[in-house]
Parts: sequence; C-alpha cells; structure tokens
Amino acid sequence: MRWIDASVNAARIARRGPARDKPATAENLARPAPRLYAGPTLGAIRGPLTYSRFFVAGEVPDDLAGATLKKMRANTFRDLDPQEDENSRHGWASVQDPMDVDLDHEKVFFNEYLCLAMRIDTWVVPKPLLTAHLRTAEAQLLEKKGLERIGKKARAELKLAVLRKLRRQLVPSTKSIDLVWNTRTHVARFFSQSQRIHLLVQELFEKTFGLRLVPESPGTAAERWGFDERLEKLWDNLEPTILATVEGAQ
Amino acid sequence: MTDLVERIERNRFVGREFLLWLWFESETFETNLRPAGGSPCALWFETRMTLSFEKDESVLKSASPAASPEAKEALRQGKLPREAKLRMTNGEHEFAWILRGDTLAFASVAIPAELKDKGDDVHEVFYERMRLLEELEAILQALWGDFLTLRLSEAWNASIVPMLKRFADEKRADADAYLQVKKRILGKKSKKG
Repeated sequence: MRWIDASVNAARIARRGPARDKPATAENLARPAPRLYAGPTLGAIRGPLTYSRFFVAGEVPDDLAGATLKKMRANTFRDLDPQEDENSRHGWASVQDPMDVDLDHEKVFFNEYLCLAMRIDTWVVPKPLLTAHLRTAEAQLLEKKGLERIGKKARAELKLAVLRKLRRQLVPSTKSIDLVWNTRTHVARFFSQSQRIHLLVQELFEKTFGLRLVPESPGTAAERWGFDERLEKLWDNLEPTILATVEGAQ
Repeated sequence: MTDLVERIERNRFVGREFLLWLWFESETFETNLRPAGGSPCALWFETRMTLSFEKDESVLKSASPAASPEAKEALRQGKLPREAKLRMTNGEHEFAWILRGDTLAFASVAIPAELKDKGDDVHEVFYERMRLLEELEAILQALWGDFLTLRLSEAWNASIVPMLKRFADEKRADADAYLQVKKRILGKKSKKG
C-alpha cells in the first residue's frame, strides 16, 4: 500500500482543490491525491496526551490473551475497496504502527496493559474533483442517449459510478487513535475526545471483547467512587449549586 | 442502554462544581492541597479558563485567570468553570493539563517524562507515560473523593455554599472555618496546607 507522509500538503489539496495556476478540468483534477496521513501521532507512545477515560464493565476472562486474541484478529482493520459503497471503515491495528494489522501477543500486551489502535480510513473525494467529473459524465450520457436532461435516479447512479472511478485513483485518508486498557484497574484511556469516534470504539470494543466501555462522566465517576443506599439517594436528588447574585445577573 | 445513558448524563453539572471547588481550595489554601486519600500537592489555575452558564460563556486568558475580577464576576452571573488549565506539582513531578468539567476528560497533558520517543525503548517510553498519567489521575481521584464527600454532606449547603458565595464576592474565605468543616466531614486526615 502506497502512502505519502505529507499531511499538510494533502490537507491543503483536499481543502482548496488543485493549484490555482491550472484550470479545474477533470483531467487536471484527476491526479492521485496523497494519503491524508500524518503518522501514528495520537496517543499512548508518542504525541499529545489528550484523552477520555472509560471504565471496562463486565467479567474479564482470567486468560485474557488466550480468550481474545482471535477475536481481536477477527476485528482488525480491512482496507477500503473502491468498488464497495462503504465510505469509511474502522478496525484494530497495532499501536506501534497503524499500517500493521497482523496482531499478535507481543504487539498488543504490555504487561497489564492491553494496547490497540483503532484505525479509521475514509474516502475523501475533493468536491471540485467530483463536480468536474460528474459534469463531464452527465454531458457524455446526454449525448449518448440523445436526451436533454437526466432524471434524479439516473443522476444518483451516475454520481455513484463517478465516485467509484475516482476512488480507484485516490488513496483514503487514514487516522489511528490509541486505546490503552489497564486490565488491573479496568480503566481504559482512549486518545480522542470526539463523541462520534467514542461511539465507534465502544461498539468495536464490545464486539471484540464482549465487555462494555462506559464513558467517564461526573455521574459514572461518582458511582465508581462508591455509593451506599443513603448516598445514592442524595446523589439522585442533587440540585445544582447557584452562586448568582441579583447584581451579578444584572 | 437507557439506564447507562441516564447514569452517564445524570448530574453532569457536578463536574463544573468540582472545578469550582478546586479553584476555591487552591485559593483558600494558597495552592497547597491535602487530599484525605492521597499525597499532598500544589495545584493552581493558569493561562486559560472558560466559565459557562447555558450558552453564555466567558473565556479568560491571562497568566492567572482565576485571580482576575472577571472570573469572580462570571461566578456572580451564575456561570461555573466548564474547563480550565491546571498545573500541579507532586513532589518533584510537575504536570499541566486542561480539565473538562462536563466529561472529566484530560486534554494537552504535559507530564515530566524523561524518556523520549526516539532513542529510548518504546516499551519503556510507554510505561513511563502511563505511570505518570496514573500518578496524576490518582491525586485527582483523591480530590474527587473529598469533593464528593463534602458535596453529598449536609455541610455543603449549610456551610460551604455561603463560603463559596463570599469567594465569588471577592472576599477572602475563612480558611480555618472551612478547615473545621472539612475535618468534621472528612475526618482527621484533613490538614491545613
């Protein structure tokens, strides 16, 4: 698989389209774009430490490695296929190299820590490129069929065909986000704070391990701190603290 | 699933109150905090703080935003800290990070790591990073425990909220009176910093 570590330039191309000194024709726009990939920068081993905490709920098997390695391998990342309709795909990869999806014990288990990267690949077809190619394809179809206009359904089918054709000339954008699960404390750190990506990792984790990733929030953190019946009742009936004054509100 | 969502969403405002309490403690004890179940540390707010009430926000950026009159004014307007940049020293270790009240998530954490990604064994780099994060989280966890004990006690509304109101009014809190309340609720482990 070919990829170029030139994310800044790639992002510029994706954002602005081709260089301004070339006309935005279908031919000029059809040059393959570099992979939007900045290297394994999110997380556990290198890069900024920005993360959300989760608590792993459920019965963790004694022989975690033996019981789950097969399932991890079954849920590793699979490359996107330009012929398929899927626009994005995610799965597990190695934290040390998100291009490495051949997981084994050594790549996943670091003493009491289970480490995986969730790799997400997405087709990013620049809009000017799609528009230019779609316009050309529409003109060809009209001429071929001797029509004056194209129906809604035919246009949607044409768009899909153009998208597939363009995807064959592009490489998907890739990102990978590390997940570190301390199997002793049941705390998992996931190096992203996007709610959308949280949903993806929660679903993938549950599918792989049969265990739930419960997001940390004041509510779940309070619950884990330990409630007896009296405290739970107090917690359920808690009212916000209000410091506002009449003068302040004015 | 609904039950889980409810557990996650319930009382999210308490995360902002936790930030408020950290701010109050830091100012009252001149940054020296002594969590009942953890090691003593110095903690203070620096460079950036966002206070919110519904969609109304005050973003304060300065060397010490918590000390600015605007921060206290925001409290009097009913806003609470939604996120803040904190710095903490624990022994020789110094940490800085952004704490988000609504999710208790950590952002841009600076840790006193000695090993580097390039040149050092990748496993050792990883273990050091995790050990330092866990050190930071353990102290926060101890502070969270103290806060919750106080928050769920009768002393919160009876004694601490009036002190917080004085604090919002830019009047110095009576550290001894507050310490007495803490001792009564948390036990004898509470000491003045």
